[in-house]
Amino acid sequence: MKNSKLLALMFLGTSLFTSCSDDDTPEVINEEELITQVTLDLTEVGTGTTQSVVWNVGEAAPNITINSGSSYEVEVGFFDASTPSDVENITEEVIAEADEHQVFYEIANASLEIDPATDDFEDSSNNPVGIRTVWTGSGTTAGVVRVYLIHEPVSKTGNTRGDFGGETDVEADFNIIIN
Amino acid sequence: MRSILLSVISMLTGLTLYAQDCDAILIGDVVDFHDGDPLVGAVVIAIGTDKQAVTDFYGKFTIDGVCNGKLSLQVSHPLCKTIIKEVMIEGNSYTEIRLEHHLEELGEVVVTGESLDTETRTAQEAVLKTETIEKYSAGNLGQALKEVSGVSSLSTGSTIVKPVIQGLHSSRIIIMNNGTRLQDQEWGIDHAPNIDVNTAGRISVIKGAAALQYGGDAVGGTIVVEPGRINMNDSIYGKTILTGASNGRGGGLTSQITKSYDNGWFVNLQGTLNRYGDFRSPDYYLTNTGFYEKNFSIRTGLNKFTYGFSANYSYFDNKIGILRASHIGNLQDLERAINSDQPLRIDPFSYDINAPRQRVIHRLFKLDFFKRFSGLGKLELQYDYQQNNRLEFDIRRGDDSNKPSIDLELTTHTFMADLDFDSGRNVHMKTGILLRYQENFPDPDTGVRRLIPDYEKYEAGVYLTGLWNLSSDLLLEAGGRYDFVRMDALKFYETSRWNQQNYQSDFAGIIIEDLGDQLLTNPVFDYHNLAASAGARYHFSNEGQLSLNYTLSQRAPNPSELFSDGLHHSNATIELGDLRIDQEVSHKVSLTVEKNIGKLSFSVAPYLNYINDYIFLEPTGAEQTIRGAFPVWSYKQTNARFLGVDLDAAYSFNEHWSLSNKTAFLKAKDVGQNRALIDIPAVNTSTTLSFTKRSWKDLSINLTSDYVFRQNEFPDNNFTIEVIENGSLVEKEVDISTPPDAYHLLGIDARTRFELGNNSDLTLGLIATNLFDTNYRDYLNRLRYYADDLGRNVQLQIKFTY
Repeated sequence: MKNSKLLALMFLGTSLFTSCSDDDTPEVINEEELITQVTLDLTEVGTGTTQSVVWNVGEAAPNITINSGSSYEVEVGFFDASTPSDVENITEEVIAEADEHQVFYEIANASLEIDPATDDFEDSSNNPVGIRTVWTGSGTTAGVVRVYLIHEPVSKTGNTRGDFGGETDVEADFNIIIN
Repeated sequence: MRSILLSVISMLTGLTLYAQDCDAILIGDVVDFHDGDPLVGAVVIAIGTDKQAVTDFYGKFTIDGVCNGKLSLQVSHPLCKTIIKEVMIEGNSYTEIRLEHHLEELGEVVVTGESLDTETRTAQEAVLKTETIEKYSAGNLGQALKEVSGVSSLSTGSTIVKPVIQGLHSSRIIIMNNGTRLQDQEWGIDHAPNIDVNTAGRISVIKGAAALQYGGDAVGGTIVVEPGRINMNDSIYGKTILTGASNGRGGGLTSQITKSYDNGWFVNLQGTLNRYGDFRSPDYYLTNTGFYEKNFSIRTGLNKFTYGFSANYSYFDNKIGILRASHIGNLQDLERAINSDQPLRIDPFSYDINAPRQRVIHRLFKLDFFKRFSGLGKLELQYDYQQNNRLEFDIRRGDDSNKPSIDLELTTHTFMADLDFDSGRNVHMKTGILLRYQENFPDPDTGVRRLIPDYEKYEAGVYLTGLWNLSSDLLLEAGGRYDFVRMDALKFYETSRWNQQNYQSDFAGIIIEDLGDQLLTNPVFDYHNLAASAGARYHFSNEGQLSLNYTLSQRAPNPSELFSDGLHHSNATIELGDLRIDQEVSHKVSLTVEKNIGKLSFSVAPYLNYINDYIFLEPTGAEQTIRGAFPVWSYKQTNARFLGVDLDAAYSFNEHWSLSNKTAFLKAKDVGQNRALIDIPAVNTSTTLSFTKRSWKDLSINLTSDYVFRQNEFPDNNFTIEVIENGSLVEKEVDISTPPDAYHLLGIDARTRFELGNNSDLTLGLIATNLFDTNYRDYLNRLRYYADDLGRNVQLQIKFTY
């Protein structure tokens, strides 16, 4: 008696469970926390001449030409431009979470000096984050500036990428030409 | 429906009541007192009559023409103490006889002559018993299974451990948990089986697909986890194990209690709590490697000889931290991690489990029913419902930092009916059907494009297996199985990926919506899987036997192989599935020679597994991302050959001292491209010196030496990156291919038991692993790029049985 009820229940259960699947079309996902664009805004000290260089993911490294012997105030920007009509500024997030982020520049083959700017943003320990820097070129050389955005660095100071640890959120190359 | 059921049941429930004085039939089971394993070849003599019987392969015997009233049975078995048991005969009767097994202490893993209640008769198989499983009470299934020769593990740290059987893993292994096939997203390399090892009373490992009743696609093997046996008498019993471990500063508590009644009703409750903080390698803490596991299960039902049913519910909840240093941004980070002796991030010890971490909840509900039909066999019906929810938390920025990056919910319904024709003396057939429906729902709230798409999967299977005892020395086994699998998915492709994969020419028809930069597609694939197995076992002497088996199996590609599409953080790789991937087909031949020569027993088990269209991942190029260039790994198919041998040997010097060894040797090759296969376990050998003395409070001490050789055969998947060093761009090789060096670990475990009266026992155990705190890295641990493996761990275990 008991068994027959149980058996019946079992079959009923099976049919109930299997008959209630839904065929809803899944929702499309547009990823939001991507960084797809890195910009460098350069202002020549003294002349006030400005230039903007934009790199979008997938493109070849853009060229930056600067005057030998001049200094430039440079501000880096990170953007999500995956929806061109709605470009999101990630730089603000980086500044807000300055303790967890660090911007770092490496230079290859060019006689370029990059120093933190006096008006750079700082984290809670007063370390410059590297958003605003001063670039000074000398001689006539050409090379590469590699811009890193580092997430959760182990150290906030250092001379090589390895000194900072953490994970690389952005690694973008810019060709630098010093005349 | 109801009346038919009623009549069937009333017809079958009553035991046959019409026996005359002396024509009753006594049937019975002779089983091992400790774990309920059937004993084959036990002699049962009805004292005072000329009647006797010998138990068959299932430990069953039948004596007919017995008289009502008291009957004394003398039961003997070569490995056991002979006993006399009185049974009451009232018409046709059933009795269960438990014999004390002398050779219990010989080895944890069954070697020779003991492999009785196996799932197949001719394939390579091994069994882990409760005593062995309990050592891993505060650990996991993957660790316990390494006790079997030929089984290694593919791990992500020490808490995510997947079994590898003779070089194969993940979707190539079926895990049967209490009669249900575990549906826990087994495809992922960092997805460990969602199973509480403490629910297992015994675990069988079938190396290969020969156990066709469970499925035809177990190209690697089948792991059958069975709960402990329920007593058939009025009793209440249970056990509690408390484990404390030095490494990870944690431990586990597991407890279970069973109440059973004379009339066959029973209820069993079980629960486990495991908690660890950061583990430690010899030189540093492994930051963010803690874990927290909470499980419970309940079983209840009625167990008669002729019929029974049970209802089961289990809940598994696991939170696992993943080594912080393994979360990297790009290839340069990976290159730095590989070339650094220490992980690039080491924090002080903590119990916190931060991102990256996994949380998995697995729920299983099962109902089963069986009925024995005299003279025919046993019918079993089973329905199970499984829900597996996997959350993976990455390190994310801003508001999303507490949101999972992966949130998959896999729901599975399975119905099975099996008919076991076990009444024949020399022929044993089994047949069954399976129906399964599975649905995967990836929650879009993650804000991250789905790694595995929405899909519905339908399966239907049918099998027939047979066993023939041709003579007392020769046994034949054969079987076949057919499974239909339909995969019906809804997947978004980025238009750029769609074009890059060249899908437009072959799959234009599956696009159902074009969103510009993304395409919604509806791939529907049907697969027909055939499997067949045939084997023979021959007793060439009293002390030796030989088994030969051939198994054909086919496996349909899993969702990961078909649809993967994205960045894998801990590897810094982009992984791509392929819609064109078709089934893989395995041909496996295995031979097992088992022999006892005096005090030496050994088993030699060579095998050849040839897999056509073997599905594997291989680097196929590079892709530029905002984080730099990443290597792209794509799923491809090739022909692969696995040739190996598993060796087991035990030598008992006297009743106290014994020495045992297990060794696995495997050579695997990508025949299609004439190169080595990736992630193949290296040759490994494990030797144990054991001392046991019953009179000293059941003292047993095992000293174990594990030696793992370096894997010298591996494909070269290295790539170069450009880094800036001292003001210039230089090329550097990222060496992800070279396996780590060989290593040797020593461990010891000791155990002693105190009787407390009232059938209560207290067992104290001390288990120490990596005694010398050796620094090592294992080829099959995916975190080997980042950190050393675990250092010394001393565990104290207190077990209370009542």
